[in-house]
Amino acid sequence: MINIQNLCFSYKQNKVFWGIDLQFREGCIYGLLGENGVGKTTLLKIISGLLPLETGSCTVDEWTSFERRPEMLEELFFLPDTVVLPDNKTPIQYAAAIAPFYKNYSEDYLKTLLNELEVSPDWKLAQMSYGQQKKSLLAVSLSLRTRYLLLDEPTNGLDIPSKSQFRSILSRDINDQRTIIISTHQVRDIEMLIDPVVILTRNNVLLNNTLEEVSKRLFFEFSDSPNPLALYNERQPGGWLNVMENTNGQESQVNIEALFNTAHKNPHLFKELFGKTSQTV
Amino acid sequence: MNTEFDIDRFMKVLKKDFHSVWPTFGIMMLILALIPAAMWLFCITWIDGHTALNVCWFLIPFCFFLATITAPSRIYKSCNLPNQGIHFAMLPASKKEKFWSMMLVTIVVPLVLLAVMIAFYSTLTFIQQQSFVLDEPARLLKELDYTFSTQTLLLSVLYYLANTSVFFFTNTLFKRHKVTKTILWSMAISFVASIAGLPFLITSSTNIHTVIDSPQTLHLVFDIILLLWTIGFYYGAYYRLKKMNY
Repeated sequence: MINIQNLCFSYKQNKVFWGIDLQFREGCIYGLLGENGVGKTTLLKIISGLLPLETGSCTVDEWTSFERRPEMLEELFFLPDTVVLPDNKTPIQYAAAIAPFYKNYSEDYLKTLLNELEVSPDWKLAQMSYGQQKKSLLAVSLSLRTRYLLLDEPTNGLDIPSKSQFRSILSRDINDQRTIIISTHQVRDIEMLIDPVVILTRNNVLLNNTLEEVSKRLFFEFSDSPNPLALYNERQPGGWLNVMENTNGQESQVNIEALFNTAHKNPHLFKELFGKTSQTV
Repeated sequence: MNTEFDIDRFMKVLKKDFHSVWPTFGIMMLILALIPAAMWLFCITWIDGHTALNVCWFLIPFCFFLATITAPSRIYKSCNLPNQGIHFAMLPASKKEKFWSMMLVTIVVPLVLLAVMIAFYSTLTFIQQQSFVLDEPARLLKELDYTFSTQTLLLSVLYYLANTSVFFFTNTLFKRHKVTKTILWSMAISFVASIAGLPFLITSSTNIHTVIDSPQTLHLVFDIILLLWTIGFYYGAYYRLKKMNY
């Protein structure tokens, strides 16, 4: 389990997190959402041990993340948004170079993944397009089969078939021992994939709940007109999407983009609605 | 299992690092190894064979020095860079294992290049002069008034390590133009230090022979200074790597 307690972090004068508590449990694909600059990448880097904390603690299992202990690193892989090529190698050569450090790595699985994502295993990374590089690195990161996988904007640069392939691979790969955290702006790319959802706001966590809990408290309704009682509404082709407090216990399908916009528009109400349960899922 | 330093894992890091030497430093090594050959070819064409060999052997230490100062920044260029450095930081090995592997690689690789150069140019000398292969370097060392002894060997090793340690440290300090910045900073610091230390040198130079009475003691003092210097810079580099954030 990833456990963050009373985390404070700043870039010089810019306060990013101020006393946040968060837990990420096994068996879930977390969606990490937030506006630009709220600290999604920073949070992933803190969990990976790439940034030191000002105060508080961040542990992965029993390991303090910034110590970057080998036991932690062999169970955690962070794929950053920016494609940085390790060397001019093929994906298989790159994976082979780091494979001795990951006990669950499977070259056969890497080949399967590359095949599914339609990347030739014989191409050198430097000769590939941005999207192909991204797909190759995604395949490598999945083939290492670490218990914790942190993906920063994984669908950036992927074409439409690759996005659905990516979703299908991730749904297949998740199990009770694994935790996957996906930070993204492309909510629609991973809408059917993520549960729970974590929404970050300036310095704090606005939501960290399962979709089931969200649907217990919020009602997502599609109607012909905007509902005056709605916390948030938006015009969509053929009508209006209204997000309201779920006072009658009705069931509805959570629209993550609308959920994010509702949270962004009503931060205080969200704190009230989800405050008791939002830190731990 | 000692999680801070596990020998099996260290060997894996070392193996991975040595594998990365050719893609990152290979071309540079090839160029450095062939500089004396190019000069030899030039001299043998335009001047004479004897001068060609002399130039060749004089260039070997120069190329070795270049290899020494560039090795850390070429092989571990990205270790402190915000994005590229993530690959290095996230490799499942302890900071100690990574540090010792880096240190070994940056010490060994220039020595391997030196050995290759000596072997290659000895062969060249032998072919050209049909004489004992080490005649030429031995003659040159004699000309430079260099006599082999345990003391001079120790001093050479310490001097090599001290030099390597500085560039190893600055590789973790500077993000770009690592070698150039190191040289410029060294020049600036030496200049300031010499200005600041001038009054002290003037007063102490008259008394130095009473404090350090024999050349052996002077050697020992110099060895200790170099040793402390080396340890200091390597420790500084380790500390930087330990606290590095990305």
